[in-house]
Amino acid sequence: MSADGKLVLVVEDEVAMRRFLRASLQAQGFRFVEAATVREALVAITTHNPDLVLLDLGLPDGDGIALTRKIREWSRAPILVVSARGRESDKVEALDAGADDYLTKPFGMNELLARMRVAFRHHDAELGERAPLVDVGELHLDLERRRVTLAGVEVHLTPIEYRILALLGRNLGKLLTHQQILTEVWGQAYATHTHYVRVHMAELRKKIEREPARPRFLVTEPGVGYRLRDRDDAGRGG
Amino acid sequence: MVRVAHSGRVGDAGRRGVVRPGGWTGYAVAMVLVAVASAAALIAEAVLALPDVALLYLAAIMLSAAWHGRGPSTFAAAASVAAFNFLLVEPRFTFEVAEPRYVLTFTMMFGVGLVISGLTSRLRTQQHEAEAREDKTHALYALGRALAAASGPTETMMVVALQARRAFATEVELIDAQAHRDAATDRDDVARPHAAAIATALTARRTTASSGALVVPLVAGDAVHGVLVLADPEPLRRPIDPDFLESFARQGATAIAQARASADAAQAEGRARAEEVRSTLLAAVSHDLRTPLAVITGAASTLRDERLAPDERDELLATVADEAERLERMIGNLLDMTRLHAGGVVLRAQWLPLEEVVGSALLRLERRLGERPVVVTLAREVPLLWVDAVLLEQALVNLLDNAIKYTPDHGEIELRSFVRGDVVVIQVLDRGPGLPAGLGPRAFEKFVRGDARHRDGFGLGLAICRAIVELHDGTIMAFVRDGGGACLEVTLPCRVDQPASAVDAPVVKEWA
Repeated sequence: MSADGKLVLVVEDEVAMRRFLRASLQAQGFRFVEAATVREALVAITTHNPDLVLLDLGLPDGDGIALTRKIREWSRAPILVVSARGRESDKVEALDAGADDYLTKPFGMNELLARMRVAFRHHDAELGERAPLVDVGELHLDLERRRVTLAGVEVHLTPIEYRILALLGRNLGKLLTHQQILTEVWGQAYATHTHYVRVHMAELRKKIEREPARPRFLVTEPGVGYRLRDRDDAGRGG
Repeated sequence: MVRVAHSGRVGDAGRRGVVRPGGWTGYAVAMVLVAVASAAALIAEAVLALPDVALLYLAAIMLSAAWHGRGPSTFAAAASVAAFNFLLVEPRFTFEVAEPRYVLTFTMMFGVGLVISGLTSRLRTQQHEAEAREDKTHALYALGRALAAASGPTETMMVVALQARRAFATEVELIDAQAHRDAATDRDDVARPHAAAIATALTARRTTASSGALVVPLVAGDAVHGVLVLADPEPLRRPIDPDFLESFARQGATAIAQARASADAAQAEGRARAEEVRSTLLAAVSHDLRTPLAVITGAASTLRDERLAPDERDELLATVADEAERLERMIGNLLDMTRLHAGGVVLRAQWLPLEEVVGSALLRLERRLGERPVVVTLAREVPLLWVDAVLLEQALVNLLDNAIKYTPDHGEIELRSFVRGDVVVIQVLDRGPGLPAGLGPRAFEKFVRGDARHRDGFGLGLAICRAIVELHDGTIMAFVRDGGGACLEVTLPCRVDQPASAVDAPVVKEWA
């Protein structure tokens, strides 16, 4: 990935974590700003206008979710939140508040870079033209002609299955919460019917996954949501 | 301290309207009775002979005796004689007696009056005593029954205090002797007025506090278990029977002593078990956490050496990553177990297809599985499950992780699910060494490892599984598999109220 000297703001109270991230990100060609508290983070965002924010939700002095909301009030820069395993509700809240993705501590550099790559790509896509074609290995989505093919063979999807797949496809690699999918596909009124998503997702997997119980494309993030795995996405198991 | 304020003045004794001897009411009533008898006599005189009329007075004396006892009825006898003389015997309206035979009549009348008064009031006393005995027996029986239902020292003390209030019909405080001694300097406001008496009572003597309250120690064996403080009895009430009070106090004290003893025993047992778990945990932590740390520290310091060959460097880096991952797994397990045991886990159940949970568990284990193939067979009839996605995934990860431990590099692991009766069965099967003899259900206890050579973790994985499965009202078991290996089986309840099909939901948003 070409970092192009992009500026990353790391909001993290642990000195050791900041040291590791600084060394690793600078080695990848990123510029690096750091903040240890919510207050420092707000100052850093206004003065440096970073290209991406890496935000630890477990800050001692405040609420990372509130900070996410505040950043979103006037910046579209991708926000990646970092949290511990078992805090799924925090993750969902952060994502619904406008964060782009999350990482579970501890994470490896490959995983972080993969998430950053996806986030930058979406950021760029939002500003520019949307690509009408999505390719993930054998899976091919043509969003303009509403066609889905698997290894060159057309797959017949119901309208709802297509909407879900197209939504995930347009957000390739990005995690979408159950809420976000429900709202986009069914509308606000169905925001609590999360089993709708799950049932249709199961049907969708039967059509496009070779082994639906070991999906290659449609990955579940338990308790949070789904993502369409990118070709070079390191995934959660990485 | 248990304090029971007596609300209202109607107690068992009070309701019977007992008036203590010396009350003026009895004499007033006697007066009225004699007056009524006199009026009746004056009317009856026209048709009856004088000796017959005298019988009316005897009736008045008897009533007075029955209602108010000896004093008032003796007064009634004297008043009757006087009234009889004054109103009915010639010369009328004087106390003079014309004929000497009336002196005999008066004496007889007074004497019979006294005898009737004596007999009636004795009968009355006996009846009251019988009633009081019955009350006491009833109160002790009620105490016994209420105590049998109480559990734990606090509840037992509460029961004693409540029953004391009912039995003695007065305001009651029950001071916990233990707590009182512990907090001698920090006494409750209510206890302070009786402090001196309580201090005396604590040395097992019944006393009366300066306020007039009765202070009774509850003694069982050699120990004073509490102090019962009965507020000053109201002046118009029957006095408290000391024997009854003692029986009551003894029964209450015995019950409190027993409740304390069994609570102490349970606490001691719990402490011993906790101590055992803690020492096992400490041993496990000190060894198992240090091993990966030692490897990481060693590898990191070696990596500083610039003369290392690139492949040696790669190997060391891989070791660091692996050991760190192992450490993370162990700490994760410890945290999960702690959280599950502390009761801090809230079940966020949702309708889920099992396939989805299996998928995410396998994805999480992708690296750990390596070259081991996993054969997944999920029966089509398996319904949606009402489960917590995160917790169930963790349970599956732990079950699979256990199978990985006992499966060689290219060995196959199987995961099956089907419906059996009204449960969904999930089985994880391996071809490892099976279950060591006698392990059976112990496999799911904390810090139990099937094979001591597998020092990868604390033996918490399956205990976490069990905790999660039980949180879902499910069961977990381990079997030896036909043809060798182990089968770990989880069952989860199949809910019949499956949600309405999502296909039926109308699409309200037109998608661009």
